[in-house]
Amino acid sequence: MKLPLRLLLFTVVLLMIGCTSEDPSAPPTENPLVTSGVYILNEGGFNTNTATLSVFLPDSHKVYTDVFSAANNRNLGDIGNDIVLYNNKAYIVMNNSHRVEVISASTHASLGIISVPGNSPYKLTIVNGSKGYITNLYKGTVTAFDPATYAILKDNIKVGANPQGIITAGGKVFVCNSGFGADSTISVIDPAKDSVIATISVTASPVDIALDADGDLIVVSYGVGSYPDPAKESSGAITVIDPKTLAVTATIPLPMAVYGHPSELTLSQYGYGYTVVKNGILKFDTRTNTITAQQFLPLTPYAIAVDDATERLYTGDARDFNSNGMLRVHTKTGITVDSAVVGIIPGTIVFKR
Amino acid sequence: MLLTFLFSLLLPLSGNDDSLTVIRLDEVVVTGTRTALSLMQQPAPVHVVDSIGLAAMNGTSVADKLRMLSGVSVRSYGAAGALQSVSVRGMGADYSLVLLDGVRYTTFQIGTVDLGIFSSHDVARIEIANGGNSALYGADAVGGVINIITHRTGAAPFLSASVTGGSYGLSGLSVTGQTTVEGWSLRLSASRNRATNDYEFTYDDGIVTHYLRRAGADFSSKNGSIVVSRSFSEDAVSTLSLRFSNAERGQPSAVTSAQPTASARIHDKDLVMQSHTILTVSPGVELSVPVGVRLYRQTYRDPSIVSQGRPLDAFYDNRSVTVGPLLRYTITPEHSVIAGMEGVHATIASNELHQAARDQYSLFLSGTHRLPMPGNVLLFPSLRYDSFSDTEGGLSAKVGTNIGLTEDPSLHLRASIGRNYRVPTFNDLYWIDGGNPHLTPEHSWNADGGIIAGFDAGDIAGDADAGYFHIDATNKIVWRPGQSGRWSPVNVLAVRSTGLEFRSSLRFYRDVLRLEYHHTVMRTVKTSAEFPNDPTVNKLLPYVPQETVTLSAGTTVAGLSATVFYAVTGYRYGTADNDPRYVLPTVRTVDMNMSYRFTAADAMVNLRAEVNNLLETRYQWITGYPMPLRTFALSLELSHTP
Repeated sequence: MKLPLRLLLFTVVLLMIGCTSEDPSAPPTENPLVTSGVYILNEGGFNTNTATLSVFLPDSHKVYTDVFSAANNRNLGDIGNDIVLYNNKAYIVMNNSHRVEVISASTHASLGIISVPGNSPYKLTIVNGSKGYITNLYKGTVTAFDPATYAILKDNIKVGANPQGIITAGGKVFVCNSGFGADSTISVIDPAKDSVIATISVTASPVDIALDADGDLIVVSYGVGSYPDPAKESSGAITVIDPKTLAVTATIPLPMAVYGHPSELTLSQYGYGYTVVKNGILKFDTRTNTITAQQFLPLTPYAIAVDDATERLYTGDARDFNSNGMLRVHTKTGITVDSAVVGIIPGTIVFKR
Repeated sequence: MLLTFLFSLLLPLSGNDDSLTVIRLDEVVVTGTRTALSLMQQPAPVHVVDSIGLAAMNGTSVADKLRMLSGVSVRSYGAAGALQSVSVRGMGADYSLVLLDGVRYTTFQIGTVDLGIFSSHDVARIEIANGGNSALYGADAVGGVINIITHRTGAAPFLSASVTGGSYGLSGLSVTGQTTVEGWSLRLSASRNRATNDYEFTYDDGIVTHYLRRAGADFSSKNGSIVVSRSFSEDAVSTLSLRFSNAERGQPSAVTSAQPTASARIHDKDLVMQSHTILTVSPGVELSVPVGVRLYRQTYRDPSIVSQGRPLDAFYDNRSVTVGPLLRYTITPEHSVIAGMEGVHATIASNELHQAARDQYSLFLSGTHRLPMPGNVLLFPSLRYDSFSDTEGGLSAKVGTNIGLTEDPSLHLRASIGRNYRVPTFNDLYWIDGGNPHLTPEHSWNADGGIIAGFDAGDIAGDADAGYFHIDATNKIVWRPGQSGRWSPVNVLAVRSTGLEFRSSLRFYRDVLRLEYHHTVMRTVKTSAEFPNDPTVNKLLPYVPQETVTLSAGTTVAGLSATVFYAVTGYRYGTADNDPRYVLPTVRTVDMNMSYRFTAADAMVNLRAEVNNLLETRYQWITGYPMPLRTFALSLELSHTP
């Protein structure tokens, strides 16, 4: 019995060393990031109005599974697809309720509703205090809204097919037109004109987009799935775009034989990112644009988000997609250090600082 | 003899009172054992809705006629013409096999039958055998077997026509005629039903209650049937039937906002041709040869769902041919056996599925034996082997018994136990975007036990059946998403459904007043864990109620009939982990109808009025699909018998 105990102690010490030597490269900063809360938007079951907003407090390990209902005495709605924090407000995109709920990021009390009937709103970006955009998944359009007054500024800005991820970079808005395999473009919108000013070609079915430490845009393309024609299935990729010149500057191919089809994207300001592929979470370097770990973790979560305050990776496990999902917290070295039960289908994770 | 008897069951019962039918345990059914036996002699409960019951119930679809039966759940997605699924004993609609005139009607593509658009107009009778019956009927007979029996031809010529009008644009027309020409009997029937279904409902988004009207829920259906039959001799009868239906309807999405999407359309075209030949080979030996061909095409379009540059536009072409010769051999009055085989060739062509075909070859043997012992002990062993070209088959066995303790008043005990299964559907196996060709069949153990009682004291007569059932299903197929959002079916789930079913009827003064009471208490839970600490284990399956109670009362005096239906369906959970925040509350509804039948000139006239949801209960069977408030229908039927 002694040997295993000693082994265990040894392992624990090793783990502790691992933990303490976590960020040797972290740059000194005068204004350190502090994450006070982690918001987990749980999609909920389709047509069942079971979307919830959970809050995880990393310091106390407390989890509040349904803060929206607690504050507002009503359900959040049907299929929560995105949450964006801006000016101490949370903008929550409720896809199948065709609206955006705006709540206080302190009290979680409802501040307003941006109603977009029939639009199937999916992802959202905020450009500034008076302009934001929402992608409309089945309409091939983007809606401009005012984040202060919640008014619709311009509906039906035509982009490509089945727009998904959207982001603001360099004063422009970039929209991933996935077409579920039938499109392969990024629409660039000028917020001053509310119209598409350029279109960038990438690998088929771009689904998610984020800004890296160098100021480049990273796009994850799913590739073409086997549906409806297995003969037309093709690989996905990670594409790097310079938001100033709109040029594609690098591509990391992800052959489907090895990786299946990638989905999800999160980037750290410390020069790396994660995406989810067939056999787990893939880690890549955004400075060299190379894969650094084919299987950083053997998990295929439904949501991933890296917290730059701690460089910890948060993953949302939807489990059977019927019951409450699981939030897990992993260190930069891949050790799982925390977990909590959240709502049904945790799909988006953001950090409140 | 048996032949004549079976045929007499299928005769149109025109001229009868069309008030509530009640169960009568001397009623003979065939679905439970494939042998004509009274309800009192069954090893497991069988429901019968005969033509009187069909006329007494409100609504125009087969699903509408099954709402009051113990162990049976009908889930509707809206008003007349909307999708309705029928499940038995908590097992889900795809665990009950639907037969049309004894021949498999359930497609291999999807495993469920939408009985909301199956018009009851040319239906003579519906029998539902609760419980597993794979040893007699093969795949998918896990929760129960629903046998829809259509009108056959009869000897007496007649012509009838009816016209119906009601709430929310409901209208119906139907014509039925029957004649005999040189030994050939012919029956023709045609009906048309439509409704706009723009009914009011409320949607509460938590801030305000919106008063809305359902949009895009209209429906229009046309149905027709031709039945020709001929007796070639005393020993040979052939019947040829052709049934056609064409239904086009809107399928609005679940109400999840004050502006629900209402652009989806479903179009069903169904053609069923059957021939039934019954030959008496020698005394006690009868051969029946049913042959069925079904061509069924469904299209589903939704212009609001644009994917890969195209609006959703799916089609599913199902074609099947079934041949099921059956030999009945009455060895002695105490012993009879049935030996049968069944061959099915089914194909699917669809833009959502890989092209596929399935060949099924089956053999079965079943017996009815009266044991040489005191009392009246019947034993029903049955064994069936199925083989499929594209999935596993295997052996199914069942044994049932019925023990008569006393007669007049009658008291019988019944019990059965059997192994049943469900095969993966074409959707499960061949869906282009995620079908899983490695699926195996789901299996279940079913057990059943109960008591049947009946008495007839002149002015008062009554029947009752009470029993317990137990279903343990394993290897259940569920669709689960994998990495990158691709959903695929997997054999992971185990489910246990246990319950008590009770039904009873009382008849006063030779049917002047009739009461029927059904009560089901059941618990259908998931028993397998899909991951450690799975919180949905031992939780009730969503939408399956734990308790249902129905009460019907009917009276007929001098051509005037009235029936009232009261139904209570207990609360249902909306989520797999039984989250109390998402509960569909208990539903209590009252429906009623009145009719007056009289003769004018040469015609029999029947005036009928029905009211559904008299108490204006706001309810949903499925979250997001509001049901209409009070609706009316008025109909006038004229029939002429030369």
